[in-house]
Amino acid sequence: MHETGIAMEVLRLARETAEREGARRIARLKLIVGRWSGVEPETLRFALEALREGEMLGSAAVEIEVREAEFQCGGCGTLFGASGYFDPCPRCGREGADLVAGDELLLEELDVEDE
Amino acid sequence: MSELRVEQKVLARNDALATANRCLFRQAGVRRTVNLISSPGTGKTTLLVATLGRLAGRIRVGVIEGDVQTENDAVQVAATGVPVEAVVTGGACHLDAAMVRRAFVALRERHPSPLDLLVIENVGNLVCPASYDLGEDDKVALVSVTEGEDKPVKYPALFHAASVVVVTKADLLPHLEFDLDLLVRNARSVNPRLRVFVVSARTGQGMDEWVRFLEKAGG
Repeated sequence: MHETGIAMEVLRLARETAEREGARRIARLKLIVGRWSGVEPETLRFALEALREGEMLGSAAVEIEVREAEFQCGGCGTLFGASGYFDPCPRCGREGADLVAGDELLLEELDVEDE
Repeated sequence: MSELRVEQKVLARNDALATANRCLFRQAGVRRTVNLISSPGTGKTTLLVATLGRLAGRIRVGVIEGDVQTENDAVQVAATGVPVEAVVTGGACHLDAAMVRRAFVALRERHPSPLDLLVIENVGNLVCPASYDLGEDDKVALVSVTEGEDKPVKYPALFHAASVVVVTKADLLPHLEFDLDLLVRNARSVNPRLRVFVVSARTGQGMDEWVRFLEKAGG
């Protein structure tokens, strides 16, 4: 639902980064979207493709890597992937593990052209 | 063609503004800031108005009221005599740190005396507000007993980000087949550290405990 605002922020960040590096055009931008970031990857892609414009961003390809959630048990420290927040630790059975990966929303890399 | 490693958080600008908001709130004397988040219709404004009545004369409160359209909620809050600033997002489904900053500055211009508690009522939505730090000490997720016990597992991002859950409309429990224990179990399966308050703004059930929590310093 808030993917449009996030897409505008991504494009602003990409443009500023590319301008700082003296680039003329962004050929590709790559994002990392955590499964639990609250952002729907395909909605974000749609928003980015609808909003990209101008010489700098108009032809930028959008690549999104979805990062799965990873949890760490607060009791025994075991790291495990899970389908939800509700899976107990597979080793000791304790509930309420901490999310250690999968809530990120990152602009990871840009392919840029100078000419 | 060259590749640039960026590795920047997309919401870094919002996070930086939220950190600045925390300083701004502390400078105004604010000891706790809460961000109320729920579906439309859970009773955020009703709970807020009842809460403000109980806090009157005890601590100084300021309110920032977010809505997609209309200032109806802000008008209800203003009737209690508490300083309030409305944020009409004009379609946006959440408040962000910049909106809250502007509203707080406007509130302070009209009411420059110190505040103890700042309450931010977010736009009615269980998804997007979870992603945006506003500078609050506590995200407070509200669920009413006329909603499902599975709300926390359907919307885990919010319940994971929240530190407090308030169950509202508790006076209706005798009339419903709502399993309160199951709701609390579901919420704690997402986030074992959640504090839970069960309240009715109408009868006053649970309100003393909730108000005591708000009176204490946060952060």
